[in-house]
Amino acid sequence: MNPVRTAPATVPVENLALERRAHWKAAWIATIDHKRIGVLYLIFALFFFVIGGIEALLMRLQLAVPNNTLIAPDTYNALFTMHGTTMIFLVAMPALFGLANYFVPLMIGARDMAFPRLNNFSVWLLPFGGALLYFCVLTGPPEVGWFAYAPLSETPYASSLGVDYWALALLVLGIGSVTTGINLIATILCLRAPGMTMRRLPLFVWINLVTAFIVIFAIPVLNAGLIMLFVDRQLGTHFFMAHEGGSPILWQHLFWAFGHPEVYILALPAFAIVSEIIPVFSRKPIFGYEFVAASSVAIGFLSFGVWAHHMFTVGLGRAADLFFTIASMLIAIPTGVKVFNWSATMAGGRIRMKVPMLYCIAFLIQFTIGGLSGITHAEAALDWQTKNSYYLVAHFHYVAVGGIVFALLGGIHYWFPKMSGRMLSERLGVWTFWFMTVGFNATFMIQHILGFEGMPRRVYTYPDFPGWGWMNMLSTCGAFLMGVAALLLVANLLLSLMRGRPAGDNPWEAWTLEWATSSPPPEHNFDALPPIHSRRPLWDEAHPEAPDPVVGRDAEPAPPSRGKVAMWCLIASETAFFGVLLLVFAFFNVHPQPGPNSRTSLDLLRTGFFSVCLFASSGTLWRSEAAEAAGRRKGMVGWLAVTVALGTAFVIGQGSEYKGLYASGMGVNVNLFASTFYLLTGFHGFHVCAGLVALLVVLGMAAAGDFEGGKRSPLAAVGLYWHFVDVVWVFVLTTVYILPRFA
Amino acid sequence: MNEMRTSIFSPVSPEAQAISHLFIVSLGICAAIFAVVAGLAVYNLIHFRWRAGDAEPRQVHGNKLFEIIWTIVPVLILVVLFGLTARAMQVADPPLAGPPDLMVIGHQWWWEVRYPGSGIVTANEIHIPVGRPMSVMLDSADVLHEFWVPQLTRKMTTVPMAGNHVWIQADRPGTYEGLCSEFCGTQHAWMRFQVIAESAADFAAWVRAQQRQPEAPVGEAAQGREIFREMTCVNCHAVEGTAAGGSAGPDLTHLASRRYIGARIALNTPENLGLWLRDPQQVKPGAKMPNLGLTNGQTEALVAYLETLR
Repeated sequence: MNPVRTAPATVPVENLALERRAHWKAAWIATIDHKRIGVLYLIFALFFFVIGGIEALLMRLQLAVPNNTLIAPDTYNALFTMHGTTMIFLVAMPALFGLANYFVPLMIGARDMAFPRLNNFSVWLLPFGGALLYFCVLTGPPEVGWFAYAPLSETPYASSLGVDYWALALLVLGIGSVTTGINLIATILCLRAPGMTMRRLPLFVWINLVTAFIVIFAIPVLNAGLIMLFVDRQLGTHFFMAHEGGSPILWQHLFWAFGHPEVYILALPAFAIVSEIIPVFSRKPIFGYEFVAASSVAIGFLSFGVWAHHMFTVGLGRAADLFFTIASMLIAIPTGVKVFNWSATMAGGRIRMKVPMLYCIAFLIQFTIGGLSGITHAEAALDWQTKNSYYLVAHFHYVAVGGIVFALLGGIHYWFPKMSGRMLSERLGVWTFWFMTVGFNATFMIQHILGFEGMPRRVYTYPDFPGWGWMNMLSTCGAFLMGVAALLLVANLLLSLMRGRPAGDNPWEAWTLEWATSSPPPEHNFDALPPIHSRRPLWDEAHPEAPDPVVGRDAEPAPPSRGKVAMWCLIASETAFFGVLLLVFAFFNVHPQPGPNSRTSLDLLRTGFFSVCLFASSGTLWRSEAAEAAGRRKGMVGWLAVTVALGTAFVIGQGSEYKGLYASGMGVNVNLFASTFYLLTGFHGFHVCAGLVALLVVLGMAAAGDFEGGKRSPLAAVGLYWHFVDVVWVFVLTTVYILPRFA
Repeated sequence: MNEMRTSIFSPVSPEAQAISHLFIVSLGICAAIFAVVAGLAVYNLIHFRWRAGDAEPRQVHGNKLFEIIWTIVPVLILVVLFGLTARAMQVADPPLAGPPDLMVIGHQWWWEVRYPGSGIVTANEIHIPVGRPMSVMLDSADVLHEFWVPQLTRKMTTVPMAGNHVWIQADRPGTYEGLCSEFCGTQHAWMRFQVIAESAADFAAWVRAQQRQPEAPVGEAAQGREIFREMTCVNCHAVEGTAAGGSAGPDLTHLASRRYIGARIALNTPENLGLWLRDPQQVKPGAKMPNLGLTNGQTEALVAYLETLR
């Protein structure tokens, strides 16, 4: 009755066997096994969690009593900057990516991620970014807060190199996140095992798919902002300097257009974990699968329309405040749907109170508190009072710690047996849980009141106002209870790794595919997969008398090629990036800048000429693709060479334009036209050059005959990118060169 | 001294009152929703605990009616909250009409306060007459700051040259705590101020006192004035009626009439003023005023002079 099915392979099994024989250190550094990469993510996250936690404890020590002088003001300011940045970019994101990396391929019955080598690249960008961020210990740390509001983050007010390293670190981490996002999307869309249709995907996979899409669209917005900040600081431009014509509010728009989706980049994977654990420990399927999945998609879309609720007090005007109030409130609806579905999953079940479930129950309660205080923040009028107060600090820690970290801890306790082959100590786990829960609520519940009393965030000390002293002391005590919980957690992980009870394949009697293989799984993940007809293949196997209803049909159209999927994702991400640069150009040049501007300084005729070269190169590339499809190698190579020549002509044309402009005195920091012009055309030129390199590689390989004998060339994927770069130039040409002439 | 309050739930103006009311209603609704969710969890945990030997429960996959209910009900609640919010916004933040009564300019790390009508310039202390709404135009000399008086008015960021404004009003005489709530650098914690609401008569008296030029100092204080002029104090500080016209630091014309120094870091006593002058960095690390290396004698003379600036 069990037809043996195997999952699609992305790497030959021999490679995996090679990895097993390699020296263990080399095997971990160069690993392309998604499971090892997942574990690396989790280890880095744990390491930075300890650092970020120590930073938090130092801050709480300083705040324990009024008018304290334990920690100097600048040190305190550096601590909260590093704490926020560390916890978000080096702890929460890596930990959630780590779990996704480990379990998405297993849950869909795949052998690995779609791009195992890219996956290795992504994971090592993490310690690289972390090292860049913490390099500031040597150069003077950033003291600007994790959202680095301009102009405080500009050179006149933050002269040490800390902010520069901060920006570079986030850029590096952002690139790693986008590549991981693309990898996850391609994996989920292209590598599902036979029978694992989209309607049967575990919710963990569904929700991580939505998250990956948010990642690829949101991160480029931050990257654009970071580049502008970095250019401001290093090349003396004034994107965000009000007195010089720039706009500090623009930084806020860019940061939060990334920053609020980021909240859901963290929250959705937490929902994903909870949506797996609650059903297993309630012994029932998730209540309303379609609604949990669809509400995640809804959150994904809405998350891009609410950013300015972080800006209710900067004077955007009544209309904007009302719009972002209602938009932000809307997010409460899909989120509420989830909370009720989780509750309904528990109702009528047989709830097993194991450690993973304890964390999920605490998550449910605490996240609801954070969500409800979130609604009060969405009401602009209330935000006018509580923004930047400790009420806000309490709110986002209820979401980020009470919600996300608790879900993560639940997930780690749930999946540790699968990853290590050993059970965690239940006793130590329960102790950890209670220290964590009591400590967390003691720390942050009282901060709601402190906010009502008018205590602002980010102050290194505070006056001895009635009640402020004991409330802060309580908060500090709670933080140290959480510190104890962290120690217990690390102890439990280490002890259980060495001496834990063997877990067996499926210790929790769970139903998704990761439990259908050994613990830990072999390099190739599965020897054989069970048949998949429903959302819970292992339930069906254990209960042949009462299987889940079959969902949809087994057959699905053949999946798209992972190369094309990845290229389309990259293009989507780049579209967001260039979209931001185009908007920034338009924003600063709607009214011509004093000094050089489009009308006075740009030569449309010459640019028109080399633009024609670029557009023509799309046509020649298309001919090359057609020749390849027809099997004419010479034609393919010939047309490809013409394409490269035309692209080079464009780059030379742009280079000569730059040279002329520079010679006429238009440096990058002359005015905001110059800055935005070089930013936009420069990044486009950079992409053209990258495309040329890719085309040259394909050309070289094709000329050498690498694609003979039916081996497919990457021309289709590279070509897609080249066409995209040409399309971007249509918009750049229109916005920069043509429209200003008619304005 | 009366019991000090700083809470947004002890509002003293129509604006703060409107927000406080909305908050109480919203918190009530949130508490009800929380009671439902937490109640469900507790009920589930009591009634549906697994016990050894239990068989698997009935496998329920969902219920469309429930989904519709818990989508529609929150929508209705949010519609109500949105309506209440829109109304509160009208009351809490009326549009600016006419020229502003007050200009408040944020500096790293103190507040410049100007009264365009009467020409008064002061710092870290705002006097207003009770019961009269005063429009405040906000600006910043450097980075973003945020003007906030929890009991009186909403917070608003001081974006350089953006022309943000708030209304400020106090229905009862008293002293109300204000602060910067947007992180603005090293001494963000000590960028506080006070709003002092007085009867119309007291306010008028304060205005007259502020408009008077301080009397010419004699004795040690006159000596202090010389030091003030020689020690580069004048480059940053202004004292009306003298050559001192700097604008980087607070206007000191009526320094002695203020309650606190250093944006509320210390009471304005001769001792504290002396400590400050001897080494501002000791009192408020990072403050823009450098240590001028004054001798004890110079410090005493300067304090004597500054004490005459009433």
